Amino acid sequence: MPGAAPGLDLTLVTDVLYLLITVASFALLALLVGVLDK
Amino acid sequence: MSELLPALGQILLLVLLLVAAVPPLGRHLAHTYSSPAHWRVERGTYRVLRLDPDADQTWRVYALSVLGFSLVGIVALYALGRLQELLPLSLGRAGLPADGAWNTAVSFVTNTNWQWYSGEVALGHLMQMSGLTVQNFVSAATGMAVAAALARGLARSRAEGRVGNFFVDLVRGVVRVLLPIAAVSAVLMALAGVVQNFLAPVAMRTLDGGTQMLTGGPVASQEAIKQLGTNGGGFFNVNSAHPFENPTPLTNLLAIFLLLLIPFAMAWAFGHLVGDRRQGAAVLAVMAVLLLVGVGLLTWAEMAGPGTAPQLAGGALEGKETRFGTAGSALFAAATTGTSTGAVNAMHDSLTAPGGGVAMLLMQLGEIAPGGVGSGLYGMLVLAVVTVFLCGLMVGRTPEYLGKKIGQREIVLVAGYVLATPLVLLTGVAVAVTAPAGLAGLQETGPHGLSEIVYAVTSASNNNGSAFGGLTTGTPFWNTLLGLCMLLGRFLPIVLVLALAGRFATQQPAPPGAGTLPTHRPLFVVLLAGVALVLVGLTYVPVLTLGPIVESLA
Repeated sequence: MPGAAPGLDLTLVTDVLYLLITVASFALLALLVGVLDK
Repeated sequence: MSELLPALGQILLLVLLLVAAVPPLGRHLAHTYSSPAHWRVERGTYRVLRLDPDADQTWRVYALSVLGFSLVGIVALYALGRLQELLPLSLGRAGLPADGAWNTAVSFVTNTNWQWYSGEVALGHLMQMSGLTVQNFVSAATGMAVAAALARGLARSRAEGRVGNFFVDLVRGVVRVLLPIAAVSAVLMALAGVVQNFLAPVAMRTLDGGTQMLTGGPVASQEAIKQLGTNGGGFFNVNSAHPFENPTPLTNLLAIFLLLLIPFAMAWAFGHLVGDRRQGAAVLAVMAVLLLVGVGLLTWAEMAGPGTAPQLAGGALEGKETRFGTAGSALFAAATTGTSTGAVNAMHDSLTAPGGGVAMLLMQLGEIAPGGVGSGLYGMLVLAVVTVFLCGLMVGRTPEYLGKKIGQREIVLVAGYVLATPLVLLTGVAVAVTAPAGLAGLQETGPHGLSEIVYAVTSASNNNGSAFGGLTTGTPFWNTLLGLCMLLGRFLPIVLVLALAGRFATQQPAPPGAGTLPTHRPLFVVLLAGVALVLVGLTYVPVLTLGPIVESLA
């Protein structure tokens, strides 16, 4: 929604959630690298 | 049809510019990725980062380096977006919401540059320059590095899976290729009228006595790398349709030239890297043919396509800037969707139904015509392997590409690559059309509504980044769904391509025999283009039928 960015939202839960999604995605990709390397 | 001659003249001029620029840049790219000598500034960078530039990495280490570097980029960009209001040069802009900051971070690190926000309203100069523009450079260099690694894998003999050094490729791509061309291009852009300043928004009085806020900023410098790196993220919400970002037909042509330059030059460089320039020319020819067909179909659709308005007005002018005209908009639309750039100079939601369908298909081909910087080349090379494999099956011989045998392991990796993006894309569409949150932001219903959803997910999954429009995506649902599509659509294929590069690098090339399929002749060009259209294009026929094709027939 253009221009509708609300103020700094310090709900750490959502921050942790998105960081977890990121780390989990890359962990799975790294796992794939390991599987393909065998 | 009064626009036909200028349209053809514009395409001819573009072709001439590319013919003049691609071979020398291709040679420079090949030298960049094969020279053993390091520049002084590069050595300094390696010292600061405590890297050994002469250490050759196995494909596994190379892939983990790509993933690690990108992970750090996402986390850093996320923090920059979330904390924007606490940082200098923010122009008083608020921090981005969590879902928006994540989407933006993933978007720019994956070279997608999908934008759910209005740049001129939501972002300050620090985020634009230190966040987005930096990622414009390094995400592009990452794609080029992966393509160089695959070319090395094909060129090397018994190298134990070693495909180069990611950080050396990354630094060289930025220092030797992207920075110099982007710097010159930024100056040209500024001279041609693109805005470049550090001013805060200026209040102007309009002719009818009202007040309008005009936002400036370092636009030309971002515009240059935005096109050159096939990034596409606009400084302004309306991207290259904005008169500060793309003011004249000259800047429009320059932008199209820049976004096509490196993808074609990478194909030329490939020929040099594998020691047979004809191989690069064949790959380049397939890219060019597919793009020219796309340009022709899209231009026809917009200038003489179905519908009363295009027939009477001599073109579908809705959603287009009059300073570019129908032909200038159609050429830009084909070039931006064929290259994974994602910049737009017209409203793609207003393209005619067949025109919108062509734009979607160009992305769905896997961004190979000519594709993103680096990603276009490695996508096309994967399809070349498929072509060789299919031809090998027909004549009953072991298929090989450039002397490297295509065995079971290789074909599993190639099949994974070919299936990965459609899997991400079609799953994303399925989730969006079945979830109430996915349908909530739709402007249209029926076939056009489906096209709006399919275009958005296609754009994200293929790391294009252009928006059809007509769909409100700045919501937690869409930001998360499209973020996942961008992330998986970028890194799943990269991991598979690097694994393939490693497999090739372990082999000793076999000399060509009587049963070897020549991969530099026109026959192979036709076969490769056919495989791209049949194998990849047919995957999307059902969903295209329900969207733009049904709309065309309505």
